[in-house]
Amino acid sequence: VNESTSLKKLEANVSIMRAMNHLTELPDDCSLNVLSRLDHNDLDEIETTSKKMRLISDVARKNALKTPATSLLVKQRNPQLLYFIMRIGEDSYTLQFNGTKPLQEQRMSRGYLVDLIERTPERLERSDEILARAKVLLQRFSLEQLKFIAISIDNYFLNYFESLLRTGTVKEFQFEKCAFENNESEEGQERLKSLILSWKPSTIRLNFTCKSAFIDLKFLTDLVSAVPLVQVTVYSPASTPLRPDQTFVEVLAKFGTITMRSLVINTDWLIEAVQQRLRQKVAGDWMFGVSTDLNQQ
Amino acid sequence: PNVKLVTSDNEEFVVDFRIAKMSVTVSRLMEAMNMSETDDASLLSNSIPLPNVTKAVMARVIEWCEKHKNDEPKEEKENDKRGRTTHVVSDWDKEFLKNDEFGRLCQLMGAANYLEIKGLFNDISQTIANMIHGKKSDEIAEMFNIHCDLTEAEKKEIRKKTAWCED
Repeated sequence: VNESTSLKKLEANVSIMRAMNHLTELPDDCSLNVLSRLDHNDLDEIETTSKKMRLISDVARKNALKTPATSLLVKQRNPQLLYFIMRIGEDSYTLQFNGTKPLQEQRMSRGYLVDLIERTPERLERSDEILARAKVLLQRFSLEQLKFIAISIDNYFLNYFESLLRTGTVKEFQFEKCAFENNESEEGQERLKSLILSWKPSTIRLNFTCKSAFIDLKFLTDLVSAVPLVQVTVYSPASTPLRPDQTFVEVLAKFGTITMRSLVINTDWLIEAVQQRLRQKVAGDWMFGVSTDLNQQ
Repeated sequence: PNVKLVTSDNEEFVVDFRIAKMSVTVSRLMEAMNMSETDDASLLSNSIPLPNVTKAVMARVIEWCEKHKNDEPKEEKENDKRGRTTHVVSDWDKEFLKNDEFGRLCQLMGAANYLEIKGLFNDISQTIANMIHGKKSDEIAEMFNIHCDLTEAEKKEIRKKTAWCED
């Protein structure tokens, strides 16, 4: 009986000592401070240790160290098939989404997918799921470049893009052969432009297959004011050329790099803009071509 | 000049004014009690009650403060855009904390938090984070003796949500 009592006492003492050792015994702000010093892989492990740790890990993810990645490419093959290709240094990871099983249950696998077939954007199905997947990746990785290819831009996409601005760290955005849903939605175009201006990317490439003048002079002026020496490439084959007047000298002089075929500059004041640009003594490129409708000017 | 600090187990510690001022909490209490460096009478006649700190933990806190009393205040560096902070634990601090069991580290961290001694708090927080880094969930649970109240189904759901790449 005595031995049994002693054993029980010993067990009770061990139990008290263990209780004192609980990470969960720390005040929440202390636990959060500890977890905020970890990376996402560590938080994945911590999350499955207890309900409390799960909640604190969720909050800590906002400040968790992100893994540097070179690029994330999101390409729409057709309304049902979509690729995610991520490069981290020399490694590539690919995910093909064809709608047969929920995207949330799919994982990326090693390897690069070569798909050179060019497609015209079509209405994207289940885009909310797709965007949620990309968001998971962006929470975890800091990207040098985020590239969208042949994506049909709808409200889901714009909502996602907006959430990216809060979540992600991306230096360069590229839109390649993208189009707007509802055939040239003006509201969608304005919203995308406003999001780009608030994000202030140092490099941006905009290639849209829309007929309207999606990129206008006001956008270019606002962009270069928000990001001096921005590097911009605009390609919209079907859009009407923009013809700024001499007041555009000040704006043009602030572009680090500009490649925009549909921007028609009057040679009378072009030299003045070039001189102003050279005075900034920062490397960049301006590419000039002779417009097809070149007249006396 | 010295300041008297009284712990939860009624132990009195007499410490240098500069050391007492390293704690934001003690500093505020001294101001509230009109205790000043130039007024010896106010320092002698008053003691600062610290009901959340035990004698053993206070001794460790004072040992750390003694070592760091001449340090320049230093800010943690922001590691990236998201504001994550990193803290380099000095060799002396590593040595100071290395023999503490996790339970004692937690008590010391709780005290540093309550006393608002930022340098000590960051040292301990980073030390615990370093202990966790790179470990699997079962290792973490064992190391810190975490009682898991999640079901297997819940764990599976969490893993599904967070995994981004096939193993």
